Amino acid sequence: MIGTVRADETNERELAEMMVGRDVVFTVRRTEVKGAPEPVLKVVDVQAVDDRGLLALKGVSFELRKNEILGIAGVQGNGQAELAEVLTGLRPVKKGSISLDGLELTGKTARDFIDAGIAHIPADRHLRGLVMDFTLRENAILGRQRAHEFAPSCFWQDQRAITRYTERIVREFGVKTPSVHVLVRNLSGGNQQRLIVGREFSKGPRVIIAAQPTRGLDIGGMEYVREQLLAMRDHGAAVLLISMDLDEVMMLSDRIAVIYEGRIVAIKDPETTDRRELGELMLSGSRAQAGGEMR
Amino acid sequence: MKRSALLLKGSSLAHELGITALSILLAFGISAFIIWAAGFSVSAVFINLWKGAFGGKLALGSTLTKSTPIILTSLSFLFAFRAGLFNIGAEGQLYIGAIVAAVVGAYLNLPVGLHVFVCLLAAGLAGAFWGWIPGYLRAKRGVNEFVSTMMLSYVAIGFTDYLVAPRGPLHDAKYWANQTARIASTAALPRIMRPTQVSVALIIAVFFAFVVWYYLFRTPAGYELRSVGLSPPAAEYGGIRIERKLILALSIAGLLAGLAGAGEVLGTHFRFIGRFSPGYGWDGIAGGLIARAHPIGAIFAALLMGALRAGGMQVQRSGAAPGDIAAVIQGLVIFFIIAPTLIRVLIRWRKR
Repeated sequence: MIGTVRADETNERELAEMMVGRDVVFTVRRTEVKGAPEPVLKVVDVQAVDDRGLLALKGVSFELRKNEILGIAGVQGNGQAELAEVLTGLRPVKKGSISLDGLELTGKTARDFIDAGIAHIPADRHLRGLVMDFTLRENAILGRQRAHEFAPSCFWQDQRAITRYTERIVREFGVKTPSVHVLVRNLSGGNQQRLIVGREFSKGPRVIIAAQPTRGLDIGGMEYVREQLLAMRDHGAAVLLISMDLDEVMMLSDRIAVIYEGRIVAIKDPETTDRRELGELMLSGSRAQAGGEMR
Repeated sequence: MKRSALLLKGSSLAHELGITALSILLAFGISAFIIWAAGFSVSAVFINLWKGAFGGKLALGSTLTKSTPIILTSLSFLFAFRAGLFNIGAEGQLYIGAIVAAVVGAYLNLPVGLHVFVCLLAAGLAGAFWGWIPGYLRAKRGVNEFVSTMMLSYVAIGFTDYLVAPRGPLHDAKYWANQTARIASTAALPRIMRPTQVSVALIIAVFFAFVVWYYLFRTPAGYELRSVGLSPPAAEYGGIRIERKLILALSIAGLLAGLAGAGEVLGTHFRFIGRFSPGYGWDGIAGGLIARAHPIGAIFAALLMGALRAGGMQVQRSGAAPGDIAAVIQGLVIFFIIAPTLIRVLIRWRKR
């Protein structure tokens, strides 16, 4: 027992600290990046349909820069899931274009997006992010199974290299597992997410599409993933953070884009905006028109 | 896809083997009860089953001869199964491979060594084509491969039978039977256990079991195929083109079954005979399941199936019971293999 506090005398921060037993990064230090912003990923007027064939993205445009985290704030179901899939080649673009450093990616396959250096932490780790009945080793190379490092030729997989690589991820990202040969099905949710994060960050990605990266994690795991995202940003990655957790978006982002009904309705600076303004944008698409728009 | 995931759910090798052995034992136990209940002598049936399968060189030869095509059809089934597909059509792919091997073997003049190789290659490709059709339909049009492979089997069986029937284009006019002319001696696979019919086809089949194992578990392509079988959304996420993998999986499955047919023609009968297969393609489904979709396991599963076939014939000949009892045992083994949860429950119950 760490301690008992009165419900009316405590706050979230104190409880969280007591639960994880150390200081929690609820307010994170973001190092300033010098120099002019370098755009990496350019998204121009992208349209895409959802699984039912309805237009879910109605012309999304933004640019994602080196050394930044661009947070996407929005109420669930406003096109975030489709946006993540479009930016990783998993969903076809109906109209518009996506390019990475001038390399045209519109209409390309998921393979091309991976090879271009786009990492993806998918929102649904059980369905998309992991093959649950594969071992840690097998999951560690998902997406890079054809990389020369792991498959020197198409007739040979370097088993040792895969094991070494997996062990490195397990060590560096603190995945708790008895061995790299167990099925990921047997890991806890937090450790599964650590494996995904480790896999995606170990690729040395230029762009990271992080969809709900901390959903379902305990506080320790959440803190860890957030720190890693910031570290990747500091190392030069361009991070798109899609999260339903507005506090998380405000805490980590260098810029916040608000998505509403398939459009980016505003891009805000977290220093000068507040929950109230963002909330209004998320709910109605615009501040001035709040309450005035008839539907 | 869910169904295959259930069976492929990984666990330790010893555990897998234990469950398989227990399933086989249970099947034999219940068969014994059925034999007893039907009024036959249990000991006589089992003694004759053993005698027919392993009692002497001729019996062993009979078992191995029957196991040979079943190894390949089991591989055919499990290869597609690893990609999350059900290849129920190995029987048809086997017939297509067999007829092509017979034609190339009988009508082409090629030197020793090359001829038999060309026969195997042509038969494999023909079988692959017969597997490619349902693969393509599944990937591009969403046609259920379970139904299409099975239906194409009946097409293949009927079509090849027509080809070799009297007045059919490939009928050997010297005989009344539905069969082609004899293949050239250059196209024959050597016998390796005279006087039995065991041929080099057995070595080819075992070789392919190792090839399939290597492909599935030691190459990036095999890795991709297995991930499609276990989780299509995750495979897609990993940059794998699912459609291509589905087509490839059924094509290779067809190739393996086609080789099974070629082995029968080139090593056992030396000609194509209409409706020659006693159901080796269907046995492959059982073999693949008993092997729990493991290629090396398929060798042993096929041996079990071949032994049951050979032993069943001896049971019939001895009059101890109808030979169909072998089919009963076979069915029960499969039942217990694909009901692993039942076995797990039994184990848990015993531990209590």
